[in-house]
Amino acid sequence: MKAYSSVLAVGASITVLGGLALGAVTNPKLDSGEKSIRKVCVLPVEAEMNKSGMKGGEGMTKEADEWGPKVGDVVTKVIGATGAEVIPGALSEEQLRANDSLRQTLLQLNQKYDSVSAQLHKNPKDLKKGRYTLGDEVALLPCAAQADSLAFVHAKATVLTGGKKAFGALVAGPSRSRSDVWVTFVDAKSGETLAYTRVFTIGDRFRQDPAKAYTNVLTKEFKKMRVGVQGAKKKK
Amino acid sequence: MSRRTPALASLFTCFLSAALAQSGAPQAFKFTPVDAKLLEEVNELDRQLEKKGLVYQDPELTAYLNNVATRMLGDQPAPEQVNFKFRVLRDPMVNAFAMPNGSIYVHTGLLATLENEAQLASVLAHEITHVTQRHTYQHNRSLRKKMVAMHVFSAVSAAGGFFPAGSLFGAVLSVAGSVSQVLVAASVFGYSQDLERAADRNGVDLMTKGNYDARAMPRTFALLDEKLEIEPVETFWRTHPKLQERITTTTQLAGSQGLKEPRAVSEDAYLALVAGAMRYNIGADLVSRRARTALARANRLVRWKPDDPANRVLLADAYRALGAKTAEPGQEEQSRHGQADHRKRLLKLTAEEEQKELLKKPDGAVERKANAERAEKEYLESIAKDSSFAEAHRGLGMLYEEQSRNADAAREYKRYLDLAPADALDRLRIERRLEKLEKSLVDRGPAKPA
Repeated sequence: MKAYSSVLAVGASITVLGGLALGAVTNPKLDSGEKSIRKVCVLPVEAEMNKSGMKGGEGMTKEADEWGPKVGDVVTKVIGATGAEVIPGALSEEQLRANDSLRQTLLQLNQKYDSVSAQLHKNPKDLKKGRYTLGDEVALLPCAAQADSLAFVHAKATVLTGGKKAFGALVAGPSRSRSDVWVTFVDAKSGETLAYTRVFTIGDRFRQDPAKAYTNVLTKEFKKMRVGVQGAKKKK
Repeated sequence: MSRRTPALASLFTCFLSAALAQSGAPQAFKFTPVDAKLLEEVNELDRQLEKKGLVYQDPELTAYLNNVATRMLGDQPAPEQVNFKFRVLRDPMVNAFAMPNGSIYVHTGLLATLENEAQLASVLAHEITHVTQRHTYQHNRSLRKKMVAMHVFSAVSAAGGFFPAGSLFGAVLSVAGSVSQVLVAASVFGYSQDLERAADRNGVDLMTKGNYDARAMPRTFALLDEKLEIEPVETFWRTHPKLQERITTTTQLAGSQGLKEPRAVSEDAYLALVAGAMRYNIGADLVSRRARTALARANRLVRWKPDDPANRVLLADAYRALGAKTAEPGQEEQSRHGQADHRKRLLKLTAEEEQKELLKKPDGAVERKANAERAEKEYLESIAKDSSFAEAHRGLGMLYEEQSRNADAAREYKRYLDLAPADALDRLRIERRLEKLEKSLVDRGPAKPA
């Protein structure tokens, strides 16, 4: 009974307070001050949203197209609030439309990130060993010239239909919609992964008010990830 | 009228409709709300593929695909809600797929595998049939009725996890997965055996109509059986015994369609049109940890145009990317156990970790040295053909840097920076590498005389 009440309490707090985090992981080079996250180039958010119903799933691409930039805005604002500088309009939709080779480079880097993140999601602690790198191809992005780090933001949401929610409640399966946001900071020179976190929300609020859903939790996580903290000065 | 008459009449009607279905007589397709929903999804997928930059933009190549298809389609009107469009997608996965709205996509990976126009026609003919005979709608309706759909959909949802070694490999499927699961299910796992057989059968007819030698179809299937890489997931094209059965059936069908003078096709003419897409695909193979495939394709390009420095550079890049890997899989790797082991490693290790493991093997270091020598030879050959070809200097610089020949690497990078256009996207990357090398050279002091 006690365990059941705690589960209910956790569920209620997620609903009321917004997002929760699965724990930030940082590279020792960031902790030692050898690297820092002070000038960030935020890449366009890769967002995916699916509807899950009793007859399977279906994509919600239009909704995802609207949601993605909103998540990007929240991440950008929270980074800015830490004192770090965000390079403005680094990879806008207009720029990408006008420059196909830039769009191809971004696509390639995002895919490379996907290949690394598949392992990063499984073993996030290996980030401490410096296991994950995107290589110096990151310098192919023009904003890498001004930035010390790149922020890859991926967001995924599963929206449950009424039927699926009812079914989930009956069989003790998932009965609420869920959203996950992954933020990974990568060194803009070497491509080494510097910090990583995953935050999530339960319920449908993430769609109506992404700022409310993610601001607090991301602020806490970015603090742990030393975003905006000055690195150690290099010895001359 | 006896009481039996209505029953007999309805029985007769059943037989008649069954007979018509058997003979393949066209039946009007009635759209249901479920079909309309699917149509909406695939139209959205068209937009997403375009938006993500996955559609390969080459007007000449697109026109070529359209011409090949038009030859087979003739002047027959497109079915309701179908607007045929033939396009190429940037994905090294050897695949092609059709959407019920008439959009037919051929991956660069498949284009790079095919040998001539007739083989391309066989792929398009097969896919056109899926559209004209409404296979995706039928498949969708059937899946929705079955519990198996749940399993297929959950497998499709995990599609992202299939390609963690991914890079650009499977990029299209991961976009498609977020829009239409039915389509990904059809593309990865195929339609039902009956629908696939129908597409092969009608495909052979379409090829004959377009004056293409239908014997190209079984040859296409044989090409798809190439096993240079252990793929994270096997698409239906490559699963046995289905593939063997399809080769046998289409060989028989093609044999009975003997054309007197089929359209002449040649590999040279085909390569002249697809070389750009092939070069792109070699690059995509390389970033997707498919160096063996990249090597095989680059070798084809070099055989076709040995004096083209770009072809030589791609071949050299492929040798360099092989590192400690052999150019072809060994027997152990091809065994069932070996394949499973390799697949597991691919999912678990990063590219750098994989190379380190290979170097621990007895032949690893020997293989790496040999591949590096081959790469150097090809880069130098490319420079000999055209000393102003910037990419050859960049690749050579990277090779020397990997071998810790820092002075040589710095020289080649400088040459690259002199030759590359001012707005080259990788200028910053090479400048940074050069800066690091020069620093290391200064720290080490003047080089000792040889």
